[in-house]
Amino acid sequence: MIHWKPLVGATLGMMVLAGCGESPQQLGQATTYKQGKYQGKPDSRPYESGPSSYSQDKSWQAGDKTGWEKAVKTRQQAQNEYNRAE
Amino acid sequence: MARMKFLCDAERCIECNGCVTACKQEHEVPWGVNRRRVVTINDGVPGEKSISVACMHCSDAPCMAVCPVDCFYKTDEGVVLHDKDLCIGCGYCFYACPFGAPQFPQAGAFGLRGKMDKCTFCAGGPEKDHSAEEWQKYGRNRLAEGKLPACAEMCSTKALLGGDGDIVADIYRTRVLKRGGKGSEAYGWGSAYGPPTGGAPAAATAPKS
Repeated sequence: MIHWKPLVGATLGMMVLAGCGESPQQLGQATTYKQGKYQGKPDSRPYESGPSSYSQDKSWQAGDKTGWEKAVKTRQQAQNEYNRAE
Repeated sequence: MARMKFLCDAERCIECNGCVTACKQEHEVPWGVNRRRVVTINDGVPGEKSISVACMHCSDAPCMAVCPVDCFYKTDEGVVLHDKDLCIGCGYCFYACPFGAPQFPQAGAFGLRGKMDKCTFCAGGPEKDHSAEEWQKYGRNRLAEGKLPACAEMCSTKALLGGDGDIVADIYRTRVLKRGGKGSEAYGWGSAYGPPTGGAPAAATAPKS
């Protein structure tokens, strides 16, 4: 004779426990695309080449990441007219 | 530096298409290709709203996921770019993109498609910075000059903001608070534009009584 109660209990228990599992959903977990790791040519960082010959802002040099970031941030604040008007 | 992002303020956009024109002019984008465009909802009806749309440089970009030749990559600045030497012009990315960002120039008769072209956040592509090859394939690389996308910098009402996501959020938060909260009724505004992170001055974020 089959004992149904323990079998049903075990099945329900398994179903409840299955709900506890959760796969990670962080960015890049499913697909990871890293710089230069794709099929194509590697690209350089924007601060590596320095300002072009026709660029007005020469406050940073090639490879100067901090200087480049500062130049971009300074330029970005120009979008905030509250900073400019007050 | 955080990830580069665009944000368009629907309360400010006046559908002037200055951003579209700036993009076309800056990169000499071919006829029939619009890397950026202005979408208007309820056009002609009082209270119409417009937003400027281009590639949103998604954090987990669907175009990258579906590309059969794996020609997309994401830079450390969060800009989604692609290699035109690899692109086969299949159009899968166009169907995957929720914003219709990938564009395909006509490459011959009978609707033959060329290689995909899209907004590069003015960051060029995988060619030598400021080179003729980069200019020809991807347009101008303003980011490597310490500049921001031409569309955002050209925007007359500053509806379109572009750059470091944290600073964009700070500028937008300051603006919404200054104008009395218009725009903050959108779902998720509080979590998206929480406390300031270092962009705008903290004092400017408090609403005036």
